Amino acid sequence: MIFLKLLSKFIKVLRSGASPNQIAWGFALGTIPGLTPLACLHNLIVLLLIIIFKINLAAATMALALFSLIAWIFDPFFHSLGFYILVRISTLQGAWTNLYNAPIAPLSLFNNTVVMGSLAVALILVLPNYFWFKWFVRRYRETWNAKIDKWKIVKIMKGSKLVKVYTKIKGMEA
Amino acid sequence: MRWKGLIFLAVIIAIGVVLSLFFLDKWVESGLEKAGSAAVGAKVEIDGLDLDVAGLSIEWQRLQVTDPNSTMQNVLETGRTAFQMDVAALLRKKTVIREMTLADVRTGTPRETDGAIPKKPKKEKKKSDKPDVFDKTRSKLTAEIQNLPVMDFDPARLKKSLNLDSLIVMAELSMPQKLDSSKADVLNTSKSWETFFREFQPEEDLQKIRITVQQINPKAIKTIPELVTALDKLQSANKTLRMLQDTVKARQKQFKIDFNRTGSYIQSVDDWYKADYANVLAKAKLPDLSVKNIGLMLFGGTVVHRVNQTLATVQTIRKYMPKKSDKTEKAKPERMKGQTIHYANRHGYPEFLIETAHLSGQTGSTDDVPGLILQGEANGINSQPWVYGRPTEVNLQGQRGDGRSIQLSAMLDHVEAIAKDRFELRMDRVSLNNVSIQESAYLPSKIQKGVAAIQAVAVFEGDQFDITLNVTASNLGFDFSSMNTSNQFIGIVRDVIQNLNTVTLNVRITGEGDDLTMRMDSNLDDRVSKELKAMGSKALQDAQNKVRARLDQIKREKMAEVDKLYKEKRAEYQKKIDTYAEQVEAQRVAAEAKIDLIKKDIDSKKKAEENKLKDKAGDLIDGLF
Repeated sequence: MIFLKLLSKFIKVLRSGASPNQIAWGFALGTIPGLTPLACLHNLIVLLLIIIFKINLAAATMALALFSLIAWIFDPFFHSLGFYILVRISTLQGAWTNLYNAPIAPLSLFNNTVVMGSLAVALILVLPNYFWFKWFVRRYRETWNAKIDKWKIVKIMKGSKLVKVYTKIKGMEA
Repeated sequence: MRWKGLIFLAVIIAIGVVLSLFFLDKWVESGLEKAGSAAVGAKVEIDGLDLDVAGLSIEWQRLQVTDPNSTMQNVLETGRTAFQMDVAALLRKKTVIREMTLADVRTGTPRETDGAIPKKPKKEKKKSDKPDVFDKTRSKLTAEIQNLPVMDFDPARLKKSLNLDSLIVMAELSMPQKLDSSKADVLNTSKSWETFFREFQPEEDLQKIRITVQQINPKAIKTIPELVTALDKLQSANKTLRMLQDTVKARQKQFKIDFNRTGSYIQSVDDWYKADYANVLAKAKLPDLSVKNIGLMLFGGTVVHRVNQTLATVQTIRKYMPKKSDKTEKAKPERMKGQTIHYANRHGYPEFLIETAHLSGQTGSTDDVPGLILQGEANGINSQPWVYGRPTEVNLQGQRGDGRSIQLSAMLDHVEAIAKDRFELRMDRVSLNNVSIQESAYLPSKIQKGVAAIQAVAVFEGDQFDITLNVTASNLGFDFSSMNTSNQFIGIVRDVIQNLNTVTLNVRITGEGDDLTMRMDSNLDDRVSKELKAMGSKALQDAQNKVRARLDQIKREKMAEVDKLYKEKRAEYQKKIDTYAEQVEAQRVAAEAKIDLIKKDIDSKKKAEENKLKDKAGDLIDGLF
């Protein structure tokens, strides 16, 4: 039910007046806590960015949920990538050593292979996700929204008693 | 800018700060108690915790750690404990405590309430958790004690009944079975030799060769071609003889192998006999009166229990204070956990460090029995010794006016790749009143009275260890009344202890993994052994003779069959194979002698022909000129 609720909110966001930029940034930034372990210092920074700037929270939450669901599959890859970045790239050793000895930085768990590997992937995905999702929102609003509304399955679902009862109950709850 | 969001965040943070001011101590206390209880498997309780966030200091008035094996007492109890964390280190995710005070530390204190918690199902041991060198040592030590002979000695019972028939059934003798197997092997070997002799018939070949050799008379042969033909015949016969000789030699070798093997059974009979004899004695519970390890039998269980505890402690210490590792190797971490990579540490902070801990406590579990007041220091307790660069040192001492004293020191050097640990304990005039002892079948579980001087040194270097323990106990008193009175060994031990002023025990255990050397010498050894012999040697001798007589009878009967068969077959085949060897050799010598004669004849005839040709050629050349 939570996922359905989230999906419905997300669809509402797609149809709302929020700008595609806000929604796309929400989705892009939500990728970071979605792919990386949640209890990390960098995720606090992401949260602050989302709160301070007018970034769409529902899109961020959707991305968080979506990427959290698949992140575990890539865990061995994140570990290998993180190990490569932290140990094998000799030119970065000095930087990591400085960071390791600096205050606060070690609290970010940057020297954990999964954190480093997943953060690297998440950061690489931020911009592509932003552009891709911005295109997706625009496309949805311009073309797909009307088309989807015409889909038989959507009509059937909208007309079904079950959906009506559910909508009614939801209305009563509100 | 989303102002509403910022204000909301600020309000949340403010509420958090306010709540922390009022409840943080309780939360931390409860959190530590829960974590501690989960780790120990029994209640861990902290009273009066005070956390100063600004000063990063923690203090509590009392800590109780319940003994999970006896939940109405604490395995550890402390009084006031206070420490302060280093801010600079904390900002670098290191827990560094420069100074810590742990007051009134006690063990075995009684609890007012039961400290049990609902047990969680035990996690299955992972396949990767292979037993390390300490696990192997503990298993080996325990096995050594479990495999000691059982001393249940009652001469009267021995005299009364010794049912040899049932004992022999129970003991499942191996000697008769092995002798039967030996007989079967001799028979099988004989069969294969019979087959060989059936198939190997050199008589016909030898006869033909004999005729050929006899028929050829080199003196009667005039021409070289005839001599060459005779030589070919003899060489062909010689080739056959060599083949026969090779076969005979190979079989002679095989004969040695076969009959040495079957003969070895007969030589092993005495070993089988001894094993069966010991087995029957064990089943009959007949003790070995020449037993030397009385000390090991009496105190082995207790000593091994303590040594195993020490080994478990060192194992735990080494887990939390690992030795230096040269290179960062890629590990296979648990899913979603990752591997933490460590870099050169410029500040010298290990992940966890207690630089100095001031300890004070007492050996007594209650105020009524205060025991010795102990105090001392522990320096450099840390999780990354190679970063800290200095070994961990612990020194504790206590003394009382009546001469009682205790000194405990430990040096844990894990700075380099080979960890070196040394523990030393010295106790003088220690009271043994009501001290529990473990796993001795011949002593009560508690010492009623006594005093002791104990000196123990345990040195661990890498996987090797050397543990020595010297105990001198005097005025010992045990309550043997609850022990099995029919076991006269216990009676002897009791009498010997009562008549001795001092009991000494010297233990040395050295080794690596399951390769151990264990020695336990006690001044009881000779005394108990002597008493045992004096009391029970006649009855025991009779019983042992009975067992021996029966085993001798079994041995005689079975051995006679095997020995007869072995000797008969051996002699028969030896004779046959030797005869073949002689016949073949004789023919070979005769054939080779004739070959030599013919070769010489051919040579002389060749020379004569050459001379003739030379003369003819000379005449022809003379005619030309």
